Amino acid sequence: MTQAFNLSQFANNVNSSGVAQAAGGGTGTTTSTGSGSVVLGNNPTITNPILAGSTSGNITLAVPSVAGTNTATFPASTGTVMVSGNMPAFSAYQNNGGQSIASGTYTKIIIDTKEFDTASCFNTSTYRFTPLVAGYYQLNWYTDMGAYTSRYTAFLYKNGALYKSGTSNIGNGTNTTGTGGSSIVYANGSTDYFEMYVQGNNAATTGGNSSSTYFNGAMVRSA
Amino acid sequence: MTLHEKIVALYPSLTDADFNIKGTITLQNDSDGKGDYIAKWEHPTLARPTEEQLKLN
Repeated sequence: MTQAFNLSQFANNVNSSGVAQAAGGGTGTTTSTGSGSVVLGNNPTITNPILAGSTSGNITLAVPSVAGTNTATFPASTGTVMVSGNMPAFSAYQNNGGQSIASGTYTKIIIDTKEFDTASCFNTSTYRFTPLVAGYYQLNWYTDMGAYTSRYTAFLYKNGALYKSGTSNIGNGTNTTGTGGSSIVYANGSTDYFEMYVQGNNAATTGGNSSSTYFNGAMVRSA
Repeated sequence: MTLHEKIVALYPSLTDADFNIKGTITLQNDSDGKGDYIAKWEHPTLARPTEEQLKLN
């Protein structure tokens, strides 16, 4: 059975509240077993739609053809559609003019200023990133350590324990050296949190500005 | 004098390797105003320093 009509054909079936009535004047379901198309006018408003998939379990949303076919396809798997509103991203840095790091001591880096934090997941008092959406995140961390002749390593901590090591760099005593890292990590969206630490063989002072000591990241896919 | 310096003064045989990622001693500072502390001490022969020993150094 093929159905092809436009919104004007609903005119006789709209009640006093403006709600389109199903066939027969009720509010039930209109069923078609055909394979044709239901054509609505331009920009129709459909309230609380439920789109049932085909027997393959896929629902395909086709946009008007512009320079070819444009199709968004949902795979036959369970998941959450991610949009910018539920994909946290943050960037923060140290803005205290430099932090003293004692020799041989794993020291949490003070990250006290935000550049952006789309979902309010970074705390500038505890220096923690606690994403509230479960998923996988790309995190990046880096700090300058000044011109020292010592080995320094920046680490990512998860839930208070060392989780990922960054590069270990040894300065030449003349030029500023730095250490940082990058990793994709999983967060459960509630209790998991991440912090940045650094440790070196000698005391040092970090570079305390936005380009020298920073911690940033963003969700790359949902759980 | 930092905690690291106190411990090295107490045990001069310790090297940088003892405090690194593969070492048996972890000193930590959580930048919460509470200062440096011993987060892990698993040295096979040297005993964890007491608070009293650390005060004396």
